[in-house]
Amino acid sequence: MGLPGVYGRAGTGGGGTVIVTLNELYRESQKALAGSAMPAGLDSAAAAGTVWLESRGLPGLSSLLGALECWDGDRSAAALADGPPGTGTRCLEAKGRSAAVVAPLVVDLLIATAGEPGGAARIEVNELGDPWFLLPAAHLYGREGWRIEIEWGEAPLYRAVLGPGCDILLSADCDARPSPGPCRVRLACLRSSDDAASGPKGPGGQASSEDLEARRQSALRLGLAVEDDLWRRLVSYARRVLVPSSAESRRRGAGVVGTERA
Amino acid sequence: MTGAMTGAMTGAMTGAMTGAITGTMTGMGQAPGPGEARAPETVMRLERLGCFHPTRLSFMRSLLRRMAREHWRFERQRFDLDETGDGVAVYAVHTPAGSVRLVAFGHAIADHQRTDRVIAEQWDATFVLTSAEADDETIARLAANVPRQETGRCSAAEFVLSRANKSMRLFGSVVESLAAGRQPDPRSLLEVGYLMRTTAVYGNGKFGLSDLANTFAQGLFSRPFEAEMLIVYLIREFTFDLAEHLARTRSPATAVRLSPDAKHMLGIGNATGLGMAPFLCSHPQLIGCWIDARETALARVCGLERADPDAIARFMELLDRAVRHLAQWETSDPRQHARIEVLRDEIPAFGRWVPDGGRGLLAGPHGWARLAEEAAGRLSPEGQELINSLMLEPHGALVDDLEDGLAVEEGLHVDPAMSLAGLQALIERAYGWALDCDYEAPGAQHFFWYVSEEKLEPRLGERGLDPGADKELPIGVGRDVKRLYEVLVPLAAENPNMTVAELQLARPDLRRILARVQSLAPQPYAEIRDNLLGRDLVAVDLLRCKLATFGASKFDPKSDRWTRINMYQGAPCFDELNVENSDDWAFPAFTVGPAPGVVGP
Repeated sequence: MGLPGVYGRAGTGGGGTVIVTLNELYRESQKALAGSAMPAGLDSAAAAGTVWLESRGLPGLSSLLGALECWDGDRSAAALADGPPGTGTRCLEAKGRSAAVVAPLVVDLLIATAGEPGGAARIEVNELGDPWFLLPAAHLYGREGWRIEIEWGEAPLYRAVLGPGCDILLSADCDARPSPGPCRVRLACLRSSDDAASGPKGPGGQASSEDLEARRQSALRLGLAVEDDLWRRLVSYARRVLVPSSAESRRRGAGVVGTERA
Repeated sequence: MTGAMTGAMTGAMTGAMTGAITGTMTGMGQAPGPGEARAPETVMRLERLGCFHPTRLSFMRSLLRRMAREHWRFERQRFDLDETGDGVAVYAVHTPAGSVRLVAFGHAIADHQRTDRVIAEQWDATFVLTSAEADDETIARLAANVPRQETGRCSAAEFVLSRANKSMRLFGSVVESLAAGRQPDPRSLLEVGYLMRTTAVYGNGKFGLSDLANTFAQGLFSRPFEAEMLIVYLIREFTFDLAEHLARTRSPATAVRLSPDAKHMLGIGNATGLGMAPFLCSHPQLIGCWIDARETALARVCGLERADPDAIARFMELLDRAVRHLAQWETSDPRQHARIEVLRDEIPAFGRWVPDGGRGLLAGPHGWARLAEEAAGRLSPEGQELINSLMLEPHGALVDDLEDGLAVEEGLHVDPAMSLAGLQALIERAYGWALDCDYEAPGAQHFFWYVSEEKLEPRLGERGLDPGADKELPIGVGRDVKRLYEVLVPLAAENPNMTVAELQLARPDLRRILARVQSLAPQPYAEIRDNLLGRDLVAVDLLRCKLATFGASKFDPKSDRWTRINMYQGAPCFDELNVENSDDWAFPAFTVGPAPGVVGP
């Protein structure tokens, strides 16, 4: 298969793992992102993306934590600048930013450029980190009838095609490099006549949407095994959203002494 | 703040928006016209939402109907509690879609250890609803975790986690009465209304519980908060059994069981606070779906050409019951008390008017619509909403299918290809209410919402006074829409064909509100059309809306930030549940005779 098992279940860090639910992963991820001053909207998308990836055995949480560590709290830093124009291809400069943060912006731009399902468009993003996060962003549109192809890396080449008839197909040896460094990523909206359904032909094997959905169902039934260390780091980020209660808020809250004995 | 129903449903629900009212919405105001739903400008105001009463579409009502219709069978499988109430009990619920079990742990705790606050560590009883067989191994696993609540871990076999404390006003005296061989004083039962009250009901993946998608996939539950409503119903039965058990152990020779009438007077109490409030903002599609169903139901009833005589008779019967219900609804909250006083005057008067002017009116064309119109002209908002709830009661065949549309797949998405000119027009059309407010005016941003470090739940702070404004939750939807609009207008004037995708590329900080505006504009009841940051915010109105949708009654606010409620008061117990009585406990009222007898509802 060439794809990792449910990430963390094997305890790749050598430490223990903790079983968490998908909702717990979403909530802690969203709080971690919000607590790091990630632009609102991108935080929830990144949290949902983390769950999407982790529940399918793909590297979401480690990438997210990497992105959080690089994030300097400047909300405007998620903005993407145009790169040099190419022939028929829009080029963006990510400057090392993680797709955990900017994936929805990139995929939305691709869709807007194509105009409608079946329309064609191409975008290249230079120096984009954690390209895995483009998959959940594109998957949303795949469900609506769009066919999107995403490629990154060279050796190995990662390729995913999302949309009706193919949904998700992955190639390349993902076990070896769950989180490649910033690289050039190519995205394309495919016409329905384009030959994508035959799937990618990478060296490391494929995973169909059925494979990935089976993993998601397993994660729903059994929970996700996440490395202790990753979870602790996430929770630590998530605590940044918390505010100490004031005496007044405590006084005005429910269950205060004097009413609870009723 | 205690007792929030905290099961959130992020992105995991299935179902369809009811959407039945599109194109038939009236702008006329407070009453639905013939076949027309009320305008969101009327319904989605916080003050109006804070007047909602339960309806036959409320979740507790739907659940009991389903239980009866599908002949759910209840079985007390185990009751190993000692004379102090310490031990374990298991109740199985057998349904056509499988069995689930309530595993209840009783705990003998000292009075000083009993607190309703979320941060409490000990409770009189702790509960879990599980699909697992309650064998010794499972019980041991649950016993090691469920009593610890937030610090324990459940598995995906468990749907809901909860706990409850005894009512110190009532529990002991009920046990004492039963032990002495007599029924408890019905006036005491009525005054408190429950033997125990829950202090939290957790679901959807919290503390290791089953994710909602997994819960739904197992086939038994398919509606919002259905598992939570079931556990509360089962807890109610446990409270009866616990009181009877303690009476029996105290005095085996003389103890009697609670009479069915006494049980009917007892629901389950709950105190709910701000933890629940932001749910209405963070799950707008779900809320929109629930309100849509309610308003669609009203529109269907008002669309009837002729009112059926049996339905009129049933309405009058329930109106009479509601009058008695109001007489038994007590609160120490001045605002709610004043509202109840108004209801106590106007609803009986309305009830007297209907047979004279009203019955003739009901017998004419579009009688229900005309009745609603009269109510809108004659009654307070809370009175209007009560009449609206009552109007739905005789019309189960017409509206009950709407309960199948109360779940929705949530998600706010950007429409990236929309032009800025199109976006501007959309905001002006759907969010005029947000643009009309001056958020820079004094007091307009008085409050901010944050997550409390102490309780890990949403709270309300005063800007400039309390710390944490820099960590504000995105509850100020109106303000944020206006901020977006102010960025948008000059850009759209300069480049009307620029796309939303290009805008968010340059301004990623706008993504959340862009997605919200674009996703919710077609859903009339998704947004609360008020400034939820303003000085005049009464947060308890948010709670009332959601709790009424659950089916709670006897709202008893204890401040502007939390309220006590009663759940399942008047509902049939599970040994008597049938198709007839499962649907006949709206606005329960009880005739309290000379002690020790009670009659009702």
